[in-house]
Parts: sequence; C-alpha cells; structure tokens
Amino acid sequence: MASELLVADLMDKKFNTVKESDTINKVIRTLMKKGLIGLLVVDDEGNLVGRLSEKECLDVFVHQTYHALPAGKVKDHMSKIEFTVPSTMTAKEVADVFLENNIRRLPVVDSEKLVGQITRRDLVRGLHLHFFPQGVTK
Amino acid sequence: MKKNLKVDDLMDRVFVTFSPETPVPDAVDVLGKKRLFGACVVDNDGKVLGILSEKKCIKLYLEAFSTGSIKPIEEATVMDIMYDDFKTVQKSTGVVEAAQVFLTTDFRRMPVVEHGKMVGQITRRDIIKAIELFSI
Repeated sequence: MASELLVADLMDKKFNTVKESDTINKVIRTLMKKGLIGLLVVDDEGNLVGRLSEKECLDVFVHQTYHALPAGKVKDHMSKIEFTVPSTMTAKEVADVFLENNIRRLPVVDSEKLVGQITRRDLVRGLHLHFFPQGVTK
Repeated sequence: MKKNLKVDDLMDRVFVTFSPETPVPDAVDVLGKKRLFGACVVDNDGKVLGILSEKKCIKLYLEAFSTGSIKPIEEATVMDIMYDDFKTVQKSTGVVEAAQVFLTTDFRRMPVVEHGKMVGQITRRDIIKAIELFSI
C-alpha cells in the first residue's frame, strides 16, 4: 500500500550532482552522458544549494545564440530548492508534493544531510513494480 | 551555422509511440524499460492524438493504492490519461524557435508533423544535444 511504501524505498542513493562552481557546459555534458534531465547542485562541502535542469541549460543556449553571451557557471543559472522531503515520508505524501507543485525531482534530506534524490520517475517506477513485480510486457 | 539549424537536423526519426487503446500498465512498462519520460499517442493513420506523461500515471497509480484495487490501472488505456493539448512543429521550424517553445511552456516533447502525420519527435534533450555538438 502506498502508505507503507516510503521515500526511503524509492529514492536513489547514488545520484549525480554538480558543483555550483562548475561551468554550464560541464553540466550539459554530464546530462547528456548520463541521460539525465536534471541535477542537484552542491557547494564545495557537499551541501545542497540548488537545482539545475534542461530548462536552464536551454535558456543559456538561446541567449548564447542570440546575444553571444559566454556560458556562465552553474550558480549563475541554477534554481533554488523549494522543497525537500525526509526519507520517512510515504509514497502518497511525496506524490502529493509532485502533483501539487509540478516538479520532477526532490532532494531527500535527513537531519540536514542530503541522503538521496527522488524523482517523479522513481515514484512511478516504484509504484508500477509494486503492482507488477514481474513487469507486464515481454 | 547553429542559427540555421532546423528541427529536421535534430529530430528523432525513430521514436516510441502508443496507440490510444494501449493499456496503461503496458505503456508504463515500456516507458520504464526504455527509460523514457513520456511518448506521443498516435492513431492508425499516424495522426497525433495526445502525449502520455508520467505525471498522469502517478495520479492513476495512487488512486489504485487508495482504493486498494489494481483495477483502475488495469482498465485504463493511454487515451484515458493522455494530455490532449500539445504543440507540434514542422521539419522546417528553426531550432531556436523550437527552443523558445520549450522555454516558455512545460512541454518537453513535440511531435514533428507533415501532412497531418507524425514523422518525427523533438525533445528538450535533442536541443541540448545540439548545444553539445554544434557550439561547445
């Protein structure tokens, strides 16, 4: 049941991050190489400081093309973190956060420490495998 | 050169689509196996009817959990949960114009349509790949 399925069961403990001091170009390469659409941003100490997705990278592209602006650093373009969730939150509760706020990725923070990441995809996959553990199609 | 790039230069010519009658569990299975976030829904003539996104899948799966029954998922088809508002582009649309659509809307994918049929697909990711290939 969704009330028994927790963020801890669904989250990704090994997730990619970028540093706020990295260049946007490096982020784009990481996104492409790993097949991701977004990343969490950390400072040099590993503290969560923001998030960055394809959308911000696209923005850079459009401005580079039209205004010949040099690519900046991640910290110049990242978005702030609006929500974090604890690993003890239930699947139902985290689904409500995703649905009400039109976001795709949530940092999982326990006792002020970044311990994982849960994306909308992790949630859908987790719920699907819960109902169809053997999969459905061949 | 990059200013003259067209959708035709970047679009995916091989792409996953679903027929509207596809059962939702089958579609979610395929999305998971192919590591996709969504796909276009097309009829037998190749006409685009809508876009299937994981966001609507969450709602359906949660409903199943609340009721304790798998039936809502098993009985739903892609047509029941797809978005029917979407933007399309043509092969000749400029890449920067396509990028603007992605920037100003929540759409992540757009069908490329020619004579009323889907001939390709362009996603935000395709445009970012273009950044990598052509400008960095």
